[in-house]
Amino acid sequence: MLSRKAKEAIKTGLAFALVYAIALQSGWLNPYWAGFAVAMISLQTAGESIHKGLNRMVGTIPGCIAAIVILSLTAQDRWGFMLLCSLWIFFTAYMSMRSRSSHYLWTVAGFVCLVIVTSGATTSESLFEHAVFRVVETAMGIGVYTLISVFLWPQTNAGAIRKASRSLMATQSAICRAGRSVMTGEVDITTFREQREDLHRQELEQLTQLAQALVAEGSENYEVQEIRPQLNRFLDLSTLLRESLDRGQTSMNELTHMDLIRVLPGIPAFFDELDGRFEAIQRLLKSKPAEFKSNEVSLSIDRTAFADQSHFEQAALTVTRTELKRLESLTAALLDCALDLAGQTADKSTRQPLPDSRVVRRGIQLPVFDLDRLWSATYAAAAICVGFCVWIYVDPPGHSGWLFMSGAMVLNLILTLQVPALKFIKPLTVAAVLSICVYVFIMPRLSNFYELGLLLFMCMFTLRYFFTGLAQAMGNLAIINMIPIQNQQTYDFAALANSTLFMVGVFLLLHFLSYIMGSPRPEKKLLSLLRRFFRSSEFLMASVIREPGSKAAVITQWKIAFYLHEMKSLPEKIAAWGKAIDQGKFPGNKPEKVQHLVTALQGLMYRIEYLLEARESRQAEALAQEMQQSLHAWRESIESMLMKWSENPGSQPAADLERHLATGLSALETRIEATIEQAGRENLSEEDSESFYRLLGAYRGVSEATVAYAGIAGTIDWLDWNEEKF
Amino acid sequence: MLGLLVLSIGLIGTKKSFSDEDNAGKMNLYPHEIAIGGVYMPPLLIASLLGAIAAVVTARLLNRYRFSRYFFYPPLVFVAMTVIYTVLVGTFVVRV
Repeated sequence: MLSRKAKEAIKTGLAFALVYAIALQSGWLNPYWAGFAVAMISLQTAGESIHKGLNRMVGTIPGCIAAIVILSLTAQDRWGFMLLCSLWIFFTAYMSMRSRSSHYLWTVAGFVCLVIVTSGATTSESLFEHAVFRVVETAMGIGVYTLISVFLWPQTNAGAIRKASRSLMATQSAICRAGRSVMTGEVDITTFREQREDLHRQELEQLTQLAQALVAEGSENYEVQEIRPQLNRFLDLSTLLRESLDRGQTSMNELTHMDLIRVLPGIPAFFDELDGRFEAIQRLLKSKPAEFKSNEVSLSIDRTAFADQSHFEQAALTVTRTELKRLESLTAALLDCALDLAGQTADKSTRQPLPDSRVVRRGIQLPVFDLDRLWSATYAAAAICVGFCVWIYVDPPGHSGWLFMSGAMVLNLILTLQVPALKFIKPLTVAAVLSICVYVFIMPRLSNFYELGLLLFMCMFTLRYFFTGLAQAMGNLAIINMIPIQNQQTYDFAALANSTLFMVGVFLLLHFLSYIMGSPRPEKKLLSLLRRFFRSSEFLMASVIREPGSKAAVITQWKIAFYLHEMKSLPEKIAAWGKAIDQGKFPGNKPEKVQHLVTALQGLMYRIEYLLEARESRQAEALAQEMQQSLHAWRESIESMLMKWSENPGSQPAADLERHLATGLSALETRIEATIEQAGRENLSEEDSESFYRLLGAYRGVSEATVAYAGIAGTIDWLDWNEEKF
Repeated sequence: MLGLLVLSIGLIGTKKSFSDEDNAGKMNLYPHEIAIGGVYMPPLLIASLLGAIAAVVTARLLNRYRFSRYFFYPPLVFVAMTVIYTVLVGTFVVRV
């Protein structure tokens, strides 16, 4: 009995040999184009392969059109040619990083253009012929592999979406239960944090799996395509739920010493309802009846118990209640979505719309760019320019390959920037040497296509069966480039030796160029991203001074949106670079410390975001003014701290900061009490009171998150990361 | 290093010819090829490979004994070391 791995390797090998047979038999230009298509799209399941194949096919066409346009406009203008090529690569690189499920389409569109413009076409007809052959051979490669993967030992993704959704719901339900046990005092906060970290990791993995399953199963199953909008909504809601659960977790610290059941007596019933909903969703995803009647749950506050709390405790409770309400809306929406997917109609008449978590933006909205994507696209465009100059002015072996190979490789590199270009050199060299051995010692002994086909099959089978990841990718590159096959076969060892050195040279060039985006060393990149995070936080905190609800200038709105995007996206990037740090070189900081650092940053990010939201709600004028004045000193100290961290993320010990902020906040509490007494408690409407406590809770949250970060920063060995190392 | 590599790969497969008078007295001063298993390699390629290996070893030693912290920007130092070692190897060992 063959293993799944062996079956997949046989399928790829068979398709690889077949496409060469067809291309050679038909006398098509560059038969390896079809071989490339097979090697690139062969994945674990038919659905994934079909999706990637479609992306490759759809991306090839705009790539060819762009090539024809570029050469038509700039056939006699080398600088215009370079400029247009680099602009196209800049655009496709940016789009490939921006696209969630079609990044491969843009990558293909980028490098196919370069392949066609450097294919050596000397006339318009020959250029068109090259473009057509590229499309035809790509289509043939995709078609052959798809047919083989569908009919020979098909590996379908059927049921993958439901399975991934069920696992995700089970994890999110477990997170809710962990939250309940800490709120009701069954579990202490330390145990909760440990449980939460594991669950958080699982949740992230399962969300990624669900997104992948949607793409893979959706590509092979028409029924899935029909319910695609509902499935996308399910994924979006699950992602919002994850964010809401994360935000809820950050406020747990402030609740541990309170008797929550006394203030929010509906908490047990609330969590029972959530449990019921999660179970019902899981049953529906198993195609079983829900057997659950969803009810709306209200989290009413016991006013007497609430009034007994200090202002800051009341504020923390208001923040938590808002998050719980959001949780309730999201789980209700998820249940509706699951009912919809199961073909049952949900009662939507009683549902409230989902609360919008975004900071309200009014008027004209300018687009917000991601700085890292812009830099990466610039890196890709620069690689094209340098590759072109190397070709034109130095013309080393590889010739026009310096342009297209630099482009093709850089478009893949920017998607995994944490892997340095130098890491590709070793597997590439090994694979190239092995391929050259095949070319020199085996190929000249072959006398017909059956023998050649068997050789191609064996090469691809060996690569697929014994290697994975980077080694497999470099193996593909080596086999296709180092075993050139034509109908009139000739042999040239020097050409292959030069090709090997040329490819190594391309990776070296890309490694040097990667320094234009700042240092590619992970520890330095992490520090630079941390500084950017605090610069963004500091700007956003400064923007809080603005009158609540007042309309900011367009450029200020854009800046707020830009820095908010920066702040929200950076913790994930920091986590990715943190994982890439070589523990052998930097033993001072274990991966767990980096994880804690990222969690602290996420906490701060959620708190500042919440503060910006709370600032937008209407406030009672007297209280708002009092708070504005009283918080002046507190805000200044927070801003100066954030500014210090934007220069040096490890500055100031936690104890000083905590004392300083606590003094500021306790002074504020006394003044609030006096203001409320002066204004008259009875004159304060319930809505005003809630908005006020939300805002106060948001300020306190920022304070707590800042102290939490300072605490974590104190445990990090910053000197280790700051020290210069090779 | 890139420049050296580009130059060296440019030399592969290039046959150098010199007049007999030139070859007579100063044979060692002129470019020559190095045969490894019957494959002729340009000496600059060998020198740059050896230079890069020597630079990697030096960098590792500098990291190990924490001398790297005295450099302002180690990546540039690495490139400089590669060039220096390549020149040294090319002058005294391989004779470029």
